[in-house]
Amino acid sequence: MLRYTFLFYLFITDKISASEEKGGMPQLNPESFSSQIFWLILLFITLFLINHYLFLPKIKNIRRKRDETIQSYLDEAKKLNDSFNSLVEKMNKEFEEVKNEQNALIKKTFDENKKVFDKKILEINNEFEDKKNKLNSDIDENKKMITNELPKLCVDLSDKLYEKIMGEKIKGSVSDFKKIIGDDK
Amino acid sequence: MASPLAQFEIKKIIEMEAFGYDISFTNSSLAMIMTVVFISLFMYIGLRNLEIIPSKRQSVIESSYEFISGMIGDNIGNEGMKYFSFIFTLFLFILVGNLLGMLPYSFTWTSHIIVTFSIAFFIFIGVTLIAIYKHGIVKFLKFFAPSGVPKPMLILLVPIEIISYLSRPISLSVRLFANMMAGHTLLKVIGGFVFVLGANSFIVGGILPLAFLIALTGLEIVIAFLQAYVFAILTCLYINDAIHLH
Repeated sequence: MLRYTFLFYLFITDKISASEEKGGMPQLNPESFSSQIFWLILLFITLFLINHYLFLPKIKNIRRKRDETIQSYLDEAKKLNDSFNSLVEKMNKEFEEVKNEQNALIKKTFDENKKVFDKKILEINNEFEDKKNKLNSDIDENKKMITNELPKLCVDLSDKLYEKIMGEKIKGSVSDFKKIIGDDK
Repeated sequence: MASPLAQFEIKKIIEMEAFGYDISFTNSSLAMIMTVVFISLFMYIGLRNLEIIPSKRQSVIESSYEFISGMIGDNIGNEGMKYFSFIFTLFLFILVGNLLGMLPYSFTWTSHIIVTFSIAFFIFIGVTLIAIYKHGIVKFLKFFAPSGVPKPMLILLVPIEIISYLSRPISLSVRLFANMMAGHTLLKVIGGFVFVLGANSFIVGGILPLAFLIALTGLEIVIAFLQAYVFAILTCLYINDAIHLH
């Protein structure tokens, strides 16, 4: 629409400029003053009224709406941010609580285990001690038995060896054997 | 070859008279009507489908709104927003008037001193009334006698202040009128060179002035914007003076 208005204006002005021209400086010709002032006042007031009552309220309105929309988005974003922050805070608090609970549980379990472990070690030590004592007594017993039986076994063995070699039976005494080996005390 | 001043000739299209005054519809009136029509069409097209996220056209209009709003905010403050519609209309009216005048065969109504003076005079009267209404006649008159000045100096200062105040509409109107008239006359003269010299030697005589003419046309478009801006910003400053009376 603007283009056609332009073309129409150029067409009209071309026709007007083609008419006769006078000399001098036309701005100083007072003949046209009243007409120019009249049309200026009329058209300026018209444009002012159109702008003031028609176009500018529209612009103000849309700008106000835009500001309100932006503000509402900002408020919503702030609300979301606040709720997010409170959630994070709550989560951190819960996390801390759970952490403390777990630490207490771990400590309790560790203490209980330590107690059981110590008891077991004590039991094993006692058992070990008992077994050690029993073994020692067995060894002593065996040693005593071997000490008592060995001379007799040695005498019997030497009698049998003598008989095999010499073909004659003899009967050695344990006390003689002990004398020979110097253990007759 | 027409005179460079012939482009400013007022030609009657429809002869009219009211109360003994000639109010004929002239080429100047037509240019003014076209200015109003263009601004209205421009605003109508731009504001047809208003969106929260603006279209390109809506952005242009909103930018001009913000531009004027910023100008008023910087120079007058929030109190100046009452005069927003007036300054917005004034700026667009002069800007589009100047720019339409750049079209070949069109008419620049801002190049007529009576028009620019009328606007400046009405602004002057309006600004003075605002000052008197806001501060009372006594305080307004004190505006011409700056405080803290020795009394003997006032004899010299008061007339200077009054003359400077009264010369406001003259300086405001002559600035716009002279810039527009000088620019268009220069364009016409250079255009004449292109025509006359181009007929004799095409390259040197025609092309060079044509390039110069194109550059000058660009400059004139900048001046058209600048003068509208200067007119609007000076109006803001005068209103600021009236509201705050420094």
